[in-house]
Amino acid sequence: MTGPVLRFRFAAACSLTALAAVLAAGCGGKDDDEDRPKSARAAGAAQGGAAAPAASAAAAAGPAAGATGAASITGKIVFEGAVPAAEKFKMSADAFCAKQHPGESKKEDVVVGADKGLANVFVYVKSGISGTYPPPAAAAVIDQRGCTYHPHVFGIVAGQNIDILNSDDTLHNIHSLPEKNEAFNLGMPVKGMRYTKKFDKPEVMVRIKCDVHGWMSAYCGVLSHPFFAVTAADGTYAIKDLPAGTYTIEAWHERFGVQTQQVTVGAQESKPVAFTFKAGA
Amino acid sequence: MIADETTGAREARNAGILRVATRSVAFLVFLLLVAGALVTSTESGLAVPDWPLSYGKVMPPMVGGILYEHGHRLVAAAVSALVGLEFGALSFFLEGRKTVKLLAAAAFAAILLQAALGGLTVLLLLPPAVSSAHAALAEIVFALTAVVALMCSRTWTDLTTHSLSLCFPCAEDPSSCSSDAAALSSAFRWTLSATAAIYVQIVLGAVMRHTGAGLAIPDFPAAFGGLWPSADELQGHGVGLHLAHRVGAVVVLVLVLAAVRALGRAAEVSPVFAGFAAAWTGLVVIQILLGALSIWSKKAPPLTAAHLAGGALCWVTGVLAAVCLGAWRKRANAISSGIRA
Repeated sequence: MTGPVLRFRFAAACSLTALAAVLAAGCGGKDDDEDRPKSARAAGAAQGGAAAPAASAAAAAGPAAGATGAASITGKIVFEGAVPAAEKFKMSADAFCAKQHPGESKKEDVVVGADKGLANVFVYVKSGISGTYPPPAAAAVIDQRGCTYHPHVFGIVAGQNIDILNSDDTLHNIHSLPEKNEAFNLGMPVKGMRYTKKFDKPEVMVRIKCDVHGWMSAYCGVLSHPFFAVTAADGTYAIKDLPAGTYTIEAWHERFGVQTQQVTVGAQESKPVAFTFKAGA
Repeated sequence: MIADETTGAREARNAGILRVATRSVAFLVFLLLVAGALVTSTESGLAVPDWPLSYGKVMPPMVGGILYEHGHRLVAAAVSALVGLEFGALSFFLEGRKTVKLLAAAAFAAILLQAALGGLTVLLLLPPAVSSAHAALAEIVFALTAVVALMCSRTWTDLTTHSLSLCFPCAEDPSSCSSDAAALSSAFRWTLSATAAIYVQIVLGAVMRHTGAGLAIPDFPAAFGGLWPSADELQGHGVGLHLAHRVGAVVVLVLVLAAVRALGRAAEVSPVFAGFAAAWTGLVVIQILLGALSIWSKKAPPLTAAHLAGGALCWVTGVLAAVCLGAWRKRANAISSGIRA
């Protein structure tokens, strides 16, 4: 073969090889305006997500809005039997996280208080509510802090904004896994970053996870109304501002499943509804 | 004379380099496949949400799941470049055979498509169809590079360049030629069937992994404590798919054992086939054990990744055996025809 032919073939081979490397490693970035982070402003103004403000949603409702009232459902959710040992893990995959949680950490899937109160149970009115409820103006907040999600379980009204914060000096991705809503997966590499997302359709529950830190997970209940609560550390909850009526109340727990009960409340009445979860039940 | 010797020595040296280089590329593709398996096994596929960059950088902090996902991307970039170099070297400088050039070109095209599928599945948040296609194409890339390595091997050279009597005893004993050809044909058919079944099984496994059905049946060898899932249990998410993968394993085992038996008969023609038979038997047994361990360990990442690697080795063993058998059979048929003529 002659010199020029060899040179041409060499150049062609090099070009194709370079194309392969570029396609595999990449040379440009995705520019997604919708998901562009807002400025890292302080998070304090936004409402917490553990229990959305029913009253504010009701106030924002127009003439076609669903009714609200002064009734409430309160109660305590307890765990009966031997409490399953919490799964332990180490955050050694990320030096920042390991520094926040030296030694072993425990998964948050089963949190039982001293008096058997079961935390992180999403309690909501499953049926009996009519009318439409516009989403509250205030956003719910989920914060990635100390390489865990705060809160671990929360609820929103469909269409309500969720402010997603990264308070950690390490990177996270926040990845939602809904079945009815649109999924998202956002990179949050810088401390103080904030995104705002929302779920438009009711869905109980939407799992949220971080694929960088496999132990990080949270759950979001999306409802068409604001009548929900999440149990506190002692297992108690309160659903307020309900109109009088007969409702099906459902309690959801990420590991122990769901339970339902029927309850009728009169105007301004407060009825207790207790649930008891058991392992393997 | 001296010039001839020098040329011969250079050609021998080049052939040696080519043998090592093509085997290395095939081995690195296998490692890339294992790296990909670790991404899925550790559920790190979306630890880096953007593509082609990673968190807007070429090199993000390698923490948590990013280690697996970005590590896979880095290995993919390096291996793609090497497959491209192999294609370039074989096509433009070192290789005269059209088949080898075509295979190298196909491997290069496939790995480029594979990179695109990898990026697509990240940007689309791991849709099972795209992720499964990514997994299925990886096996094709591995097979193509392995066949290129085979065709640059000494075994292959011996077959295609040595005198017939060295390859086929039947060339000196014409009466045995027809039985050799029959044994090779039988082994070829069984090997092809078993290899095709392995590929289908791999694709089923990929769909199972990417639809989260790996533990849809949580026990093994029983299924929900019985021999077979009930009608209600079969309605559960991924149960049918998971069951199909288990049934597929039985089909693969039967076909591979039949192929191994036929390869044993073909080993009388060439000891190469005895090696394939032994390797294939061992790999399939280990693979079934790894499948069981994956369930018993509740999908421990090292075990599920090993299960995927074992599947790839079973598949490529079948492909290489089939290619060898095809070539040997063609030659044996040619000898038989020549003798008859």
